[in-house]
Amino acid sequence: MTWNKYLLYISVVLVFSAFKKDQTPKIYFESWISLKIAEPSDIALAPNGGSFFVVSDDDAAVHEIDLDGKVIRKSKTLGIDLEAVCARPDFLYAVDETPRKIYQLDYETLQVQRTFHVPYSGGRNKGFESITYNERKNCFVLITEKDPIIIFELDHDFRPINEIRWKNARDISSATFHNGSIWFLSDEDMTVFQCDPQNYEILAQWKINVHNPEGIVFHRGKMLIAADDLERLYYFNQP
Amino acid sequence: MRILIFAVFISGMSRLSLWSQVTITNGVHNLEISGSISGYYNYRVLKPDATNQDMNKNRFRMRDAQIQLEGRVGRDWEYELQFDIADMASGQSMIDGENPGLMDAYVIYKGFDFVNIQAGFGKTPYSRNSMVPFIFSPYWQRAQIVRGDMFTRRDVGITLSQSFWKQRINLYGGIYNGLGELSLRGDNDATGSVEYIARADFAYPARFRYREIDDRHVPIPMFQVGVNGRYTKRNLPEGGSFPAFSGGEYGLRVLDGERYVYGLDAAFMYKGFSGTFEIHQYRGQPRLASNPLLQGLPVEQTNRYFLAGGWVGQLNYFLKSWKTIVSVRYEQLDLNDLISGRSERLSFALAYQINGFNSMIKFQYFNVLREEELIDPLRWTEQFRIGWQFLFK
Repeated sequence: MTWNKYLLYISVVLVFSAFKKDQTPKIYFESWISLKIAEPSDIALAPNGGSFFVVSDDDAAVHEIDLDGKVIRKSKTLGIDLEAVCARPDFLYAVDETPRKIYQLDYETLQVQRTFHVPYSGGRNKGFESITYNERKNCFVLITEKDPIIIFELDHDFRPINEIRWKNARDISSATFHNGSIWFLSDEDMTVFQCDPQNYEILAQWKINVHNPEGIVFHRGKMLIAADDLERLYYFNQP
Repeated sequence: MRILIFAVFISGMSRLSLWSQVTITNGVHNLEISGSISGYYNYRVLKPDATNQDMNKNRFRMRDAQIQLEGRVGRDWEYELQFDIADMASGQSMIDGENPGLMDAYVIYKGFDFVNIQAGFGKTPYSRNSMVPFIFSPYWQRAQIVRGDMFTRRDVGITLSQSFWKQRINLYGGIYNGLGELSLRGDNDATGSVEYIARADFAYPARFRYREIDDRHVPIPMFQVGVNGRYTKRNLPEGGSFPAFSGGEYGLRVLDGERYVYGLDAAFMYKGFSGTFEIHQYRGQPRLASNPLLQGLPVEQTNRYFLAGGWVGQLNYFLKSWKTIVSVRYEQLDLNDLISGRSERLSFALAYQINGFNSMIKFQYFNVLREEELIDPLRWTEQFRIGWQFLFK
């Protein structure tokens, strides 16, 4: 008895039947630039709109870059594994995933003013991967990367006030608030989600053709995606 | 019928999609606790004319009951302790190179800019396939050549490593006892020798993790090529001997004499398709012409050395919408070039992801196309294996 041909038939049928069209609309980047920052893991627009802040999980530092991607300055090493950044009018916030810490930085010096600890017992590399400020609900939002994805809402002293389980993607690698919506980026699904900031339900979603996307930000009608492995910044027309 | 009952059982159990991975931290020291449980039902088709009709391999088997402790202290120190209770409880004298009781026990220092230093017991940097964690494979068994019977997969020693050019280039070099898992029993063999291992790999256009399935459907073609080698010279003194079972299933893991093993590997991924290829050559130069590995042949014929080796190629596709991996693997193995014949196997794997790799039903079909009758005669021709892999990740 040989099973080879039967198993071959099954494989061929399975593979070909999987090529059904994905209903999620795709958007394509217009251009990209190289970043001189190793493993950029998130990006945020400065409050004055004149620069970006990028965190790196390679050197665990915050880098300020101009609008063309050139590094202007960087902080000293802050922790172990910086994965997310959020720029508020008064302070900059950087998330250290492994020790579950949030550093509040002064814009002048990029030095730590306060450190918050937000306990989370999930996987070491599956902790807080995203941070943003929900302007609709006036709270910070921290999101775990995966297994499971949990959206934590926190007050201004990073005390948890609510948590929501989110099951619409395999992971979330970045989040930002823009134009009255919360935007999520999924690295493994290579998808951008526009969500209702009240309940985080999906309003729209788009597939992007970027490998290992880890940061999302909007600027002058463009959506910018930072890619970790390739160390690039991709420019899309805002969907 | 037994397979059907087992399939129903595991599909029911696998609805329990728990995430039990836990991290404890004091802000500087971070300890992650995870593990896995996996088991399968195995069925073999025996040769009708085989003398031995023992059907002991038709059974349920608990493959893994692993606990993994991964720690990080600040930015500079990491450690890992991983062990498999199922293997420890089996009480077998011969250590399974593919799945030993103690799997990792090492510390890494990352405080230098130019090199990382790992010390302890763990995987040696040889063979890409061996370096891919088993939990990311749709198969229940690695290919013959990389299972740990030709060369050791783990050992006690020191590994130096560094990455360059955005982690596209990785370099490794290390020195080890050379006895593999048997190094854990304490003493070296009578030669007191060591083994040297080195590896270099290059990926483009981005770093390529040691994985074999493209579960993300990467939008750009990615590839990696690697080259590795290992060398040891172990001349036994008069009256000396190697520890029991140190030679492994084919008597090749340690050799009274000089041994070189070198290999090449390649991998690619693109839009769900992925493939790996790996080839190894083993050159053994026994100290004595009477060594049984020289098959009793005259020196004029052997030149006092023998070759072994083979290759394995694997093609995979990840059906994202169906959460299923389809894979086919072909392998060749020649255990000794002084004797005619080689083995060839074809395997097929199907893995359904209930929750990614964390909870996965895996099916593997083995077909022995050809066997090395003189060195490694088999009493089976086909084998089916179906089971469930569950990770506390």
